[in-house]
Order: sequence, then structure tokens, then C-alpha cells
Amino acid sequence: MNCMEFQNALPDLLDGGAAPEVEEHPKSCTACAGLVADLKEISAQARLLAASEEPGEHVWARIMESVESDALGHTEVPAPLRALWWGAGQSRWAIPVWAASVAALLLLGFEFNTLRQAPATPPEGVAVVQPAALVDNDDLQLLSVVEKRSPAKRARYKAHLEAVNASIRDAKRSVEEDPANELAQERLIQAYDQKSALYEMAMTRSMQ
Amino acid sequence: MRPEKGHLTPSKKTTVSGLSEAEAIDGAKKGDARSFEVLYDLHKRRVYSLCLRMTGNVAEAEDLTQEAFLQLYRKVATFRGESAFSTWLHRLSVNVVLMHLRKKGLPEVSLEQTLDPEPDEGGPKREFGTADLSLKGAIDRVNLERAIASLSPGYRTIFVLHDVEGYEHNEIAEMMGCSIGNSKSQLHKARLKLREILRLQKTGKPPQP
Repeated sequence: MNCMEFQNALPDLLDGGAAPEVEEHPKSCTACAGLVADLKEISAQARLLAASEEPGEHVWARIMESVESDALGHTEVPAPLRALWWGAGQSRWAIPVWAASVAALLLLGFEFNTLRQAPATPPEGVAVVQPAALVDNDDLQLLSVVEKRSPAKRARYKAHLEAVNASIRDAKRSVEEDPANELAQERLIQAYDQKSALYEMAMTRSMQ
Repeated sequence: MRPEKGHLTPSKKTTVSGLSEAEAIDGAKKGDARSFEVLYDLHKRRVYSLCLRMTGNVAEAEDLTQEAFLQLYRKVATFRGESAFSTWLHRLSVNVVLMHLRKKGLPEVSLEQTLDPEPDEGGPKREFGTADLSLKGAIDRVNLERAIASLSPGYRTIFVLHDVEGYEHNEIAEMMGCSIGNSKSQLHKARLKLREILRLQKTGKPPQP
């Protein structure tokens, strides 16, 4: 066997599956023996490289941000809602998502009925005051729970609640103006879903 | 894939937080943030090292590490335990990197090299005084890292998957959509190229592009 034939068969030799005559060649050829030794040394040193590098600490922070965004999906919601805390993780929260959606729909149904029964315009002489996008008593109770667990997070939850309440208010107004508007109804459902998700995350984290 | 040697069985290792890997996996499936962080701490080096070596770029490696763990977050519920968790996560990470390379349009396997083989590449050349250029005991981690980074993407991918990460040729062929013979051929050429680069480094001459 000459050197060229040996080199063609070398991959099999290094993999441990070469014919006996291939293994014999390096015993009488210094150059090929050196080649085999070098390639084996390269492989041996390469095995030591696995898991030798450490990512910067900012990588974990970025992972948490992307997980937070992923937890709420990519529906049309106010921007702050995309950066919620990692709280409930994936869809396996303590309260099933379907239950939250049912709760949202029940609440929505109540709201629809209320909207249909309410007069389209206020009685004459009564001033109409647009409510600010603030938080209601239930929201305040939730914020109290959050504050007990982590005071630093209260402001963030409050901002999210205000944003979603504003979405609910705007969507309700659209439905009032045109109760048959399916797009407005869908937006209202989404807004309630988001609020429901906020409550779940806050409550689930408080149970951990 | 080669089993990890010299380490406690991962499922029995207890982390600083007190959770074993098995407990952390169960917790992550339920959405527990602390469990997810435990899994990250246990596997971040392996995932990041893989991404870094296959791309040769720190920024890309960080992005791909982030993507790999985001995929873990989304898919951990599907882990059934048929393989070791580290194997499952590693395979997921490799797929993330290969997808990235495909999107960049980089050849995962250097087909040009396959179609135009150079059997003399890196072979013994008596005129260079082979004995003086032996690499035995002369390869340090920095030089080898640098040499791997200078490989073409196709060679680098095959070499990292096989010699660094321990995948077998049949696994590489399946992941990359090539034949086992192609994988073996590319690996051999990658090793020859590395030898050439490392020998040039040893002589003090810059490696050829």
C-alpha cells in the first residue's frame, strides 16, 4: 500500500474500521505515522472543548424578556402587556387558561347585556364624565396582593392594569356605538382575556 | 452520541438551589421560573459553547443561545424522558444553529469540496520535515479554538458536531440531510485543514485563508 492509498483509507482507520493492511502502512512510513498521530491529537484536544465557554450574564436577562413576551403571545395588546413578568410560565398555570377565558366570556356576556340595556345617551341635563383608565376596587385588591409579595412589582402591574382597562374602555365604547360590530366585540374579548391573564399571573406568583 | 463521562448522573446532581435536574424538569413543565433557571444554569455552557463554535461569532452565539432556551421553554412539556435531558436539549440547540445557518445561506456541508476533492490536502509532505512539525503535545486550547474559527462554515459544522460535541456520523447525516459517507469525508477534510493551520501556526507563519 502506498501513501496515497493509505490516505484515502485514513478516515476508516480513524473511525476504527480499516482493513489490516491499512494499519500496517504507518509502521513503515514515518510521514503517514506522523499524519495519523496529528489527526488523533486534534480529535483528542477537540473533545476537551465541549462546554468550555460561558455566556455573559446579560444572556439570561434576554432569555427572561423573550419568555415574558412569549407567555402572552403576539395578540394586539397595549405594548406594556408584552413585557409581563415571568410568573405563570407557559400555559400550565394554577388556574387553567380555558377557565380564565370562560370567566372572561361570562364577564363579557354580563357587559354585553348591560350595554344593551343601558340608554344610548344619558338623560338630558346629566353630564357625561368619561372615566379615566385607572384601576377599580378589584384591581386595587390585586395590587395589594402583589405588593405584599414584591413591592417593586406593584408599579409595573398597576401600569399594565391601567393599560388593559383603557383597552377595555375603548372597546366597550366601540361596542356601544355599534353592538353588531364583530371586530369591536373581538377586541373587547381580547382585552378581557389580557386582564384575566394578568390576574392569573399575579395570583399564581403569589402562590409560589 | 458519546455519554458524558466523569460526571454525576445529571438527574441526581443537586444544584445550588437544592433542586436536582429531574426536579427542575418537572418544575419547568409546570411553569416554575426557578426550575427553568436551574436548567439554564446546568446547561448554559454546553449550549453556548456549541453555538459559539458553530458560528465563530459571540453575538450570534448569544442570540442562538437565547433562542435555544426559548425553544426549551416552549417545548419542555414534550420531553418524555426517552433520552437524557441533556441529549434532548443538545439536539434542540443543534437544530436552532443549523436553522440559523440555513437562513444565512451558508453551506452546512461544503459541497464544492465534496465534488472537487483534494486528496493531497494536508497530507505528509516530506519537504517540510514532518517530525519537527508533530502536533503531539503542541496544541493548546486557544490555538485550536482559533483554528476551528478559521475553518469554512461547512467544515466547522461537521468538525464541531463530531469531534467536539460527540455526534456519530449517522446522527450528523440525519441532522444535516447528507449521507454518512459525506459526513465522514467532510470530517476528514476538516481535520486535515486544521492540521495544516496548526502546523503553520507552529512555524510562526499566518494560516492560509
